Amino acid sequence: MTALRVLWFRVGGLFRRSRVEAELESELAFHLEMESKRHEQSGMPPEEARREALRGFGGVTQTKESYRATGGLPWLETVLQDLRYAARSLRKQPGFTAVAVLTLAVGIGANTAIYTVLDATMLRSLPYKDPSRLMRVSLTANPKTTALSSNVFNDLSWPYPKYEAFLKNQHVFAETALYEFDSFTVRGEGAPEILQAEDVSASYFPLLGVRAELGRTFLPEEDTQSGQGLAAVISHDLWLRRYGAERSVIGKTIADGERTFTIVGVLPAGFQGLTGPADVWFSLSAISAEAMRAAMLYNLDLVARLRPGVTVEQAKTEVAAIGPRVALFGGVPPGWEHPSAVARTLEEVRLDPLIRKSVLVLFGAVVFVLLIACANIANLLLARGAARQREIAIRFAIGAGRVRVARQLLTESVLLAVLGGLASLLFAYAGVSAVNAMDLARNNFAIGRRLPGLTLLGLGSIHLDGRTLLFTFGIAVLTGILFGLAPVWQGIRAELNEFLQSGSRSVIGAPLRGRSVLVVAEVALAVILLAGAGLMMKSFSRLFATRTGVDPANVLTARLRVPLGPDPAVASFYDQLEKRVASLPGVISAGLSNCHVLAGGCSGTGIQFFDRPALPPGSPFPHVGIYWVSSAYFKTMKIPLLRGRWFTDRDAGDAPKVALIGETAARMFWPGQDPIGKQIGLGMGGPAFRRNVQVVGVVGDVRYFSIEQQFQPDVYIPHLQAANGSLILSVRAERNPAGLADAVRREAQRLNPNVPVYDIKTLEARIGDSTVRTRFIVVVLALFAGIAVALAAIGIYGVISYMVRQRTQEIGIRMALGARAEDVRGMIVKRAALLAGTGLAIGVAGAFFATRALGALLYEVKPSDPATYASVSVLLAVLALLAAYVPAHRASKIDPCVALRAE
Amino acid sequence: MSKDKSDVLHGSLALMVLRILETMGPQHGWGIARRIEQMSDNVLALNQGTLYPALLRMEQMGWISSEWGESENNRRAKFYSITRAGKKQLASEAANWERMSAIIARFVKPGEAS
Repeated sequence: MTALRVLWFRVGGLFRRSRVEAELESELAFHLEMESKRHEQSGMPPEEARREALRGFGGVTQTKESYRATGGLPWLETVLQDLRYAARSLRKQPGFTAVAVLTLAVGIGANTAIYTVLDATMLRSLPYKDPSRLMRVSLTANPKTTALSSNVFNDLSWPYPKYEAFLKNQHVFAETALYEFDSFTVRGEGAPEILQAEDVSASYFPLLGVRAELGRTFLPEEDTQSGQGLAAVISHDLWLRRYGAERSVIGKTIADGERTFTIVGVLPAGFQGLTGPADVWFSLSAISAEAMRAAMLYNLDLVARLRPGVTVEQAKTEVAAIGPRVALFGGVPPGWEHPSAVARTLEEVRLDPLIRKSVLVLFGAVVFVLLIACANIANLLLARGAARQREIAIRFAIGAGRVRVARQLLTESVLLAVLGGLASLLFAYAGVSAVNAMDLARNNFAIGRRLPGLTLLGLGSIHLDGRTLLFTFGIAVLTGILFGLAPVWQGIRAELNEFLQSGSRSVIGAPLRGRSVLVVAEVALAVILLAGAGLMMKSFSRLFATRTGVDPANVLTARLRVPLGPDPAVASFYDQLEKRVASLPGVISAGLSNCHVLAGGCSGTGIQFFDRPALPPGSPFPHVGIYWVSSAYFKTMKIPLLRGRWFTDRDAGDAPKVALIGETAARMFWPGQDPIGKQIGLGMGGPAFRRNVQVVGVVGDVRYFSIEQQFQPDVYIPHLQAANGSLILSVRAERNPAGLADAVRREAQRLNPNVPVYDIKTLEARIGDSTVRTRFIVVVLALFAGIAVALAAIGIYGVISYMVRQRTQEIGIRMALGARAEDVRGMIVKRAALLAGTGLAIGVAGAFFATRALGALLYEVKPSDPATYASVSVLLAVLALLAAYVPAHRASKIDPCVALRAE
Repeated sequence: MSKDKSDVLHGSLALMVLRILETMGPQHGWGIARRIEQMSDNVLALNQGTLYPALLRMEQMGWISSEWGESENNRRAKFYSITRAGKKQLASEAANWERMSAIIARFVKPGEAS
């Protein structure tokens, strides 16, 4: 306590310095005056009295010194002194300072930007009450059909009846809540706006520890249809944006032309749901009663809070134990093997594994960039240090200790780095804004599939804050110490070399050697980055060249949602809309389907064959993707017919059921046979499709999952025979189709004003979006590699010019003895080639290991791809020689007479 | 400084200052210095300059507090007064001192120690 008090006083003393000094001054003056007056009263003459007073006092200056030492913090004052000195020395060389600060700003800024992403998606604790006690419970089934090698992807959502069965059987969770991703188009007041939404149970908000800022959250009775109307809670953001932060928003309605909700509450600013940054939340009553009764409609996600005293492991064990019973409750779709359930902590499902990997790779890359920047600045400092050696030697000579000089030099480096860190915030801000401009969290279809787990939550919370600033500061100081070690080492050598006595040439070899090592390191690091960027670029071009199976040029797509009704009415709405849109001017054709290309797949089902012996009972059916389409869909997408016939208008209603199959399905199920005319049964499409569906044709394969994934067996059924309320209208136009959006919307409104038309995008944009992750990594890695290569080239240039300058005399002698210009050039370039070659060799070896980290991020490219390594090596070699050529050329122009006279 | 004067024993300066402030109330630095000399009949040679860092240290410890005020001859002067913590410190230091000096006295009395 007392120690703290003393420290407080002392720190305070630092800041109140001038006042403290003035007070001490007047206090001592008063003392001396009183004392001399006393002596005068005893009869001394004034002057003698004054002298006597001073003698009795015993040294005013010593008293002040001792007072200051007691009142302040001596070591801090030394630091301040060092800082002042460092600032002066940096100011004296504005060119050097500017280059160093800029280099650091780029390096540290890039680090901060990537760290911000890392922090938001992996490190920062989840923004909920006691998040370590929260788990997500999911159903699982036949893991072999999933595309990507991560267990997060295998997780299935819950049908409501299975959830109820789960509740009856579990004992490890104190609270559970359901949630579901949704989207919503507000219509009515103001412009229509597509909002990200969540359907949640009443327990969702209390479980996460969130209270309404205004109004209330949902009541338990709102989980079921109560006839009271539908309730909605809105985000703080939407409240500001759409309702001007009016408190009267409570009780207002929000509608999409189909359903109307009453707003009952506003959530606090910054709250994000588990599916990401939603704007509006609906109670579970928003889900139709039929959907809630369906035991095989996997649509709800489950989050649960552990009962006090129950460990994560216990919960996992119990969920795995009751899993099969719960998962089988009410049945499973045909072909699903080993249905069960699994509980994972929120931390485990926090981030899409591929995105995690991408972020980590980029973070690794950015650390390399910073290391290269460090090497470059160390190089600059060494060059400068050669000039400063005299100053340092003098400091040693007049008795400065090694530690003192080292501290002085490090203070200078750290000051430089902190300046760089401050400047880097601009770059970091720009970087983070660029990432946020992609709006990954809201563009949730952008990645080609719904991102699993809480990925969107993380992507929606990327921003600079105190934590990232602390990181920036920490890394700046660390950087400063790292590159500051070079001049310190050099400085201490200066002492050992007794610079002052031995003349000005003796230490030249040392810094040149040190700088060469740094340049080799820079080149090696740049090669690794360049190799990584090269591999990603190659992946990207492979992705781009991969056949999706459709022709995306001039196609516009729009989603529609028809309110539930009798099947013929739904089918006829879509049929009429398709024909009307097809007859619009500028439209070549229009088609319907229920699934986007590269959307991560849509519906899947089991397939049965009636032309072969029945499978033993209980054994699973083969799994196929099933798509509801119109006959014009294939023409619109330019999917070719390989055998048989298309669907026609007669394949409707009660006519015999028909199906088209993809090439892969034909090869997989009827190898070497003609599938036309075969009878199959399908698990979806209604009871009529369970048997006696005739295969009438084979069409080209389409990638419905992702570019990275192989073609899957697909089956198409006519929507006129199996109505689907939620379809996508694709329109092929003669030219850029973007202008057709309004016309499509108008036609739909004219047919049925209650049908929302949303998610309107060109197919090209949609396919472009699905490669966004790869594109993002390519762009960022290429940027980093570019910076790295530029820095390495500058490094080579710097060290070679330095060498030329130091060897001017020697070169002069060589030329005087008859060496030709090309001999001199060759000698210099050879030196550069040695440096670059060494760096290249180390770099290629390093890249061979480092690029393994890319692994799953690469598409159809091996990390050891020889072509990439070859082009990287050539590129770097050319750059290195170019960087060396300028000083080499300068060397060859040295005039022997001038060079020899120089010293 | 004359040789027959004794130096102020280390640590005892605080004790004296606290005692003076307790008995005489708030005092400025010169007053404290004079008082120490008077009480010791001018035997103790306080190197007056050493008083000020000591006062600062005692203020940091919270034993005394300071305040600017008017001196007896209408000059601005810094007055020090003892705090509650200072009184506590004085009591314990004084007890310590007495115990210590009693022990020393036993050693110093001829014929008893050896």
